[in-house]
Amino acid sequence: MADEDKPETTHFGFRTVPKDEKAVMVADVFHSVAAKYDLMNDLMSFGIHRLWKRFAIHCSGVRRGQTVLDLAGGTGDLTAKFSRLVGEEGEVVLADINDSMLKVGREKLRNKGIIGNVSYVQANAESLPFPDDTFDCITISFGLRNVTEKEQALRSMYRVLKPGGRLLILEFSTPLFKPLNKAYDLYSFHVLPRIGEMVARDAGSYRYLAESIRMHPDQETLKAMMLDAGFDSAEYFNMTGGIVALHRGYKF
Amino acid sequence: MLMLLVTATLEIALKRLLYQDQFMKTARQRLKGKTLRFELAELDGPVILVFGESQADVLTSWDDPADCTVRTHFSAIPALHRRQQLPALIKQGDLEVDGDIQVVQQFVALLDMAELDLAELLSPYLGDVLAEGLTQRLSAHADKIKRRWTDRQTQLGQAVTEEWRLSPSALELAWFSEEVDSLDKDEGALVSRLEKMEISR
Repeated sequence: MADEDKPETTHFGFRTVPKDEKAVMVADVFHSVAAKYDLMNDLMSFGIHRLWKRFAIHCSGVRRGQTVLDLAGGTGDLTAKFSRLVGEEGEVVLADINDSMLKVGREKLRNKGIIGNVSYVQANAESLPFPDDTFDCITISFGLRNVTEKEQALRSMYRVLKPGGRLLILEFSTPLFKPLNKAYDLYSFHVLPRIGEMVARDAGSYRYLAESIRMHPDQETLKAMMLDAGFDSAEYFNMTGGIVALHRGYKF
Repeated sequence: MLMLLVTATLEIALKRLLYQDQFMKTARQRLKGKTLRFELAELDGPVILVFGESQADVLTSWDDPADCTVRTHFSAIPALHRRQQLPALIKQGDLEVDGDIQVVQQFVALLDMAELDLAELLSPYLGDVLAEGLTQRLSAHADKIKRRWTDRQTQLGQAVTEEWRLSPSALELAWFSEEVDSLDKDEGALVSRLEKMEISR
């Protein structure tokens, strides 16, 4: 009886929190960092995140006239590129659960003149508000680790993908080399929060970033999760020694 | 990863060169929505330019057929920024074009219009005065290096021909060439005389 009353828990970084609270806590993190998100990405990754995203686009196989969902699209880096690639006859949906990120993304893209084939949707990855078989390609870039129910989110993505469509998950992962691991820990837990404090005035959010990366499933586990959700030919590509991995799966 | 870095750099360079000036807008509009695929002999994969309203995206894979495919090699690339050299490159076989040739012609025309001004590129970061000063200094240094290189070439040429006599001088070569020409003419005259004699017999 006591167990039934106990709320279900999940992790928020290294902390264990009730499942229904995680979304609010993640939302607080992103409300806090939204304004400095792009600058911080450049500082934290020394600009390499642009190459990781470029590789994701390279692997997406997106063509003219296709429909793309950029899930947890944040400030719209991938959306901008996809918008040009699909052309006027295609469509890109930038979706994010966080309205602050969505607003920053929309303003940035409109200021760049990217309009016409981009729409903005505030949506939870776990229950996507789109009909079945809608998208040719779905990307989720540095967003999956913040989702509470990852399996449910993967199933939801599978549902809205068209047959023949592909899902690309760009996410921090587990470094392959032990010496790199130690340096990476030192950087993540000591340097990152300080940069966050100096630039975004928020060390806590960047501490969460480092912790959430460690709690995220490794390459093989995420691949198995994709296969469980129904995706076919799931594979992954390690980048920067496994610090980041791109997972790709198809719906046939 | 290296190829990604190359395409990213190329994309930034093309944006700076081709998508900043208003006067090039009409030329850019002609390319909007077109794809130009380069297949360089030295590279394993293609480089594809997808022209848009605000920039050209540089990709290493593109599943749709390209509007124009150009097969060439690295050494021919620098010549591409001069519009008048394009027919010569095609004639010499340095450039093989498949599909709509107008796409590559318009791209070359756009490159021809582009002006690379280092001071203009640096001024947002350094300020006008510093950027101009730095550019002038760099330009002066480049001129100096170029002059020294030419001087060294001349000195080495003179040493090889005049001092060490490893190779004939330019004057000797010209004289030799004249001698060969004269011999060639004499031979021609002799042949025609012999032919005449044979006919008259």
